[in-house]
Amino acid sequence: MLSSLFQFFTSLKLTVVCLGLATLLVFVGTIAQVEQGLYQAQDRYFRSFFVYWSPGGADWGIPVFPGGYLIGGLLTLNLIANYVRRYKFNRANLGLLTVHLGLVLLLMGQLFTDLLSTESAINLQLGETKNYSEDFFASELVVADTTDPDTARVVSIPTTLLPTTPTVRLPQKPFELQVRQFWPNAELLENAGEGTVASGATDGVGRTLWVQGRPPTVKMDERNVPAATVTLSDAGKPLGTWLVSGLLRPQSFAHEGRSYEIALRPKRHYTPYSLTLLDLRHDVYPGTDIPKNFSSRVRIDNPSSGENREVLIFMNNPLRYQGLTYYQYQMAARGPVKSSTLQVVRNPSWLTPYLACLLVGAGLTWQFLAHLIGFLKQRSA
Amino acid sequence: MFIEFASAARFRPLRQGIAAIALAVSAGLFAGCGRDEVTVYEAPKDVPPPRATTGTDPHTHAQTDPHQGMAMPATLKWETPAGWQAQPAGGMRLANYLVPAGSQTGQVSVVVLPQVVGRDLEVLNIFRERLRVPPLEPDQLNGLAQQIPIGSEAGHVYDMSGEGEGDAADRLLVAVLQDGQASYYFNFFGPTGLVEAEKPNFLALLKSVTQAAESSAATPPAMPPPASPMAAASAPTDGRPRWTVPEGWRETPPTQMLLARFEAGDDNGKAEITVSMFPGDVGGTVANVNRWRGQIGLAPWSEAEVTQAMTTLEVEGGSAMVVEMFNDQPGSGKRLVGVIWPRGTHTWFYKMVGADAVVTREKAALIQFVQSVRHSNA
Repeated sequence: MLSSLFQFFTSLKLTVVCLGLATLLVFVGTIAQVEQGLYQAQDRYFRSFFVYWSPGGADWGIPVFPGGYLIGGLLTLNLIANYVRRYKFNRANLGLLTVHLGLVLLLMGQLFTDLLSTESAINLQLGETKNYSEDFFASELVVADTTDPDTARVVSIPTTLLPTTPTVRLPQKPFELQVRQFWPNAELLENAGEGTVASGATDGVGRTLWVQGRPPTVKMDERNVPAATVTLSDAGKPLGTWLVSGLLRPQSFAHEGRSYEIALRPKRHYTPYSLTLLDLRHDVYPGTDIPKNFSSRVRIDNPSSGENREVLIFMNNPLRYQGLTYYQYQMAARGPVKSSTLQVVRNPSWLTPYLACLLVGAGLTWQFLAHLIGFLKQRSA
Repeated sequence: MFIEFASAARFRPLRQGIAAIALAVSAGLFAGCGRDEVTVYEAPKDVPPPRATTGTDPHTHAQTDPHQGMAMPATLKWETPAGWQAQPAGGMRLANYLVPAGSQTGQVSVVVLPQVVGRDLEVLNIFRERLRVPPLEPDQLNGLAQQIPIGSEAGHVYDMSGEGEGDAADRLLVAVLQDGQASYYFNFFGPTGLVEAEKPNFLALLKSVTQAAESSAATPPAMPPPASPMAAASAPTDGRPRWTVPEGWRETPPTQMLLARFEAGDDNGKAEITVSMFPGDVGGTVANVNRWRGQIGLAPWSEAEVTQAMTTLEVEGGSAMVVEMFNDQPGSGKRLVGVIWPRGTHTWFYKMVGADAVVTREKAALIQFVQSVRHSNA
């Protein structure tokens, strides 16, 4: 059994099939971005084990093609298994070994980037301080105990769980949360209109609002704003039903002498330090409206290291700090509220492509020189 | 890829073991990453951004109790003219005022629409419903706008009149301020004479507007990274299916809620055809039919009446429901033909409404149009 499995993974036919499938997948996945948008197409074709096809309108799918993870994983295993089976170490083969190590590192690095990297943004109004950034895509439903004057104890439920988890027992809270309705993308209106439904909320600002579900957007310059109506209860006794949405501020309520807030917001990534926006500039070329430069002057305050310094972030000059990279991203420098948005990227494996390229380059150089020297020796002999 | 390999060696248990470990590690890696779960953490409370310090005792229109909860991109403050009476505000209204003048009363409201920029036409047409006048066409909009300072920023104002004669006619001033993340609408509605008399106060209020940044939670979430120019150029047309547009229909810009909008007819009578799609059943067939009846001034039907009025239409992959209604009251003469098409987890609405003669004539075209619809994944 183990022997036949090993034989399968060391098959060179598997290599050829995987490379062929990868070529096809890249082509189809690239074309699909036209209709599905970059991120949805990436998730569907490349960040998956299988590509699924759903009959019109169905919420289930049939796997019709191997996804990027499956093909990439098989190729990596195939490469490693072949080395384990076939490779004999000698000086002549050292270059090839290095080249293939570089390829493995490249494949693994991409996998780690997919699995471990996060992209978020921190939006700062002038003078504002924050110690968190907000995810571009993921949202969270939070119930926070805000009784303490300085800190909040937060229970965070990813919105991905809401459609499939109608009832959530909140850890360390007396509440049970029941999801009554969930919209992946919705607008809130003050009046009933085309396609609106009453929110059904009995508490909070949502009592007077109407919800208009909208098709989830795949556009690159839009984001989905989810909404939900949720009921909190304590030992089966309902405390109220709230409408929560990315368009609403946190809503407060009290229970048994403690203060709470409930909100649906972009998922937060907290940092042990804070950034304060001190100044922002939108420079244009003289006599025109053509942007020349966008820059934000921020102060880093890190209580754990005692660091307190100013940094200027501008186009192509990001701030790299504690594993995060802050890029100048968006700016509202002309409105009544001046604010700057920095894109925050965490990619623990950002060095792997560089190391992989170095390995491949070194391996090819070694292999070339080995052949060249051998050739020259043979010629002079 | 594999060249110059040594000849295959015999399989050894050690080598098989290494392969098995590699497989197990890979599987574990996939299984352990990216799992969504409920988490609990402690975090410092949000610190609101500092308030602006301009003005001595301005009326700051922050998130007070009536509209606590609405996620405004920013709060503004301004000086309220003497004699204007503040009223409770809520939802997306930052403020409401009554403007009394003798026996007449005007109304001023400040509305903020987060993430709505450059949609003046659609928003103004909603506001214009109070004037009971037809919606503006796109080419009418530009001629109507006048530049005006709002605080230290450049805004513009629309001056519109409604039904009635002279000073008694309704009038609506809408001043618009946009900051790239939201639009702020300052509306002044009332009889023309009152609006004209109070206009200097309204302009003074606009001039006094300053920022009163209030809460970090109000900041709308940042948009995902922008698309490349190529991706933008080849973007889909809002998830529309394929269809054949009947001859004589003219496509017009859809509003935010619509996937498509068409117009049929001529100066003697017109009909509007709209296509929209929403998740779920959107309140059910009866509620939607009665919403349409309300739109042309008809009383609601009972469930039995709705069922009786419905006919079935064969469409791609199933069937849809067609309903027709007509308001024969003098002054109306409007007819509406609607198609409700439940499809998977969503419901599609195809609606034609307008002059009786045009809708009657174009009904067959609407049916053909709906039957021509082909969804991309079918």
